[in-house]
Amino acid sequence: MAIHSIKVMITETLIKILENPYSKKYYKDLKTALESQGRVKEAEAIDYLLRKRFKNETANSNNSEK
Amino acid sequence: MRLQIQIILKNDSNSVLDCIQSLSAVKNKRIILADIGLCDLKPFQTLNVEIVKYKLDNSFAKIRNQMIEKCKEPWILWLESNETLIQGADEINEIITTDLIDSFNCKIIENSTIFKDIKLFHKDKKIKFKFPIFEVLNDSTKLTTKIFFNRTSSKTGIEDKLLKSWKTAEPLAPEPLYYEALLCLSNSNFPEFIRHCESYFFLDSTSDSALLLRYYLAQIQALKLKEYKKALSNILFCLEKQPLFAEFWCLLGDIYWKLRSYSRAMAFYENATILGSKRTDDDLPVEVNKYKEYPTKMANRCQELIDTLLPYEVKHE
Repeated sequence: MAIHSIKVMITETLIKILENPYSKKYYKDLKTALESQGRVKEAEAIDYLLRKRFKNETANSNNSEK
Repeated sequence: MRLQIQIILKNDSNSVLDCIQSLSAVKNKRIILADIGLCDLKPFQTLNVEIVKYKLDNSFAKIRNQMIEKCKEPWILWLESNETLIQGADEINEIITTDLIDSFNCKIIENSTIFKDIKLFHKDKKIKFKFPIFEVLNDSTKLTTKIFFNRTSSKTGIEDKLLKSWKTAEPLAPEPLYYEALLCLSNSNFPEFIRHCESYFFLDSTSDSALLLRYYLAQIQALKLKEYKKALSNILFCLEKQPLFAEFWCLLGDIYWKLRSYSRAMAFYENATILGSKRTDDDLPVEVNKYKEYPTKMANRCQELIDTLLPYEVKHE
């Protein structure tokens, strides 16, 4: 994928996170987009965020409804 | 002597005295004060320092480079007169006993922000200062230290004049616009700050300086001008470049806090503490309190509001 398209993908994912900051899916998408761009450390950090923020799916679904 | 400490006397003799006093534990040193005619020299006459006259010639970098040329000692520590050493005298003493041809990044604390700057270097490293004002050294092979300086806010009063001459000499260089924007920001002249930001982004939109300027712009748009959409657009740009910067997530939190969207604000403050902890060593400034203290406090305040004060509004966000 072209670098420009990946950058757009990161921005679009960030916009989705703005709209729904408790959605696990969008953080996963962000991690994937960063990985596609070769930004390994940042992708690992987002993975860490996923693990911290969504320790279990129950907590996730509760949070998503806030 | 192994070390030459170089200070340009820009204006305030009291802060220079504090600076010199803070260096008392540094051994084997020679202190050179560059006199450019802006500072009262009487307070230094009883000290163990040498005062050398220099012509300003619209460039502090030129003076600094001349000082390096004249230096007889192998190591150089350059300081601003408003900087004091608060940690690392032992490390300096250790480094200057070696013959490593290296340069060393030191940390500078100003208010609650930590900056990094090459302050200590071996003369044979052959690095040179650039920029006539806010002069800096660049060296991609620099090493990291735990040497800390404190910097107090200070203006020499000649920034405007030097910036003007810099812009005239280099009309297409983005750097004068960057510093002009920052000067306007420090003077709370927001319309001019925004104008300079726009001009700067026209010339440079991708460097670290552009990223920082965009962050400051987003802060002003959100916290001073209530232009939240513009602020969001700029902070998204910053997050795309650096998703691990707690400062950026905190500002998102602040924007949604202002918009009374407390649940979202809380999520972004939480992201600041979680992702900020993963930020690795880089050369950009760090606003220390945005990494734990501030976002934790704000997330708690959001939680309190969600739980007790505004249940109706929050539920229907």
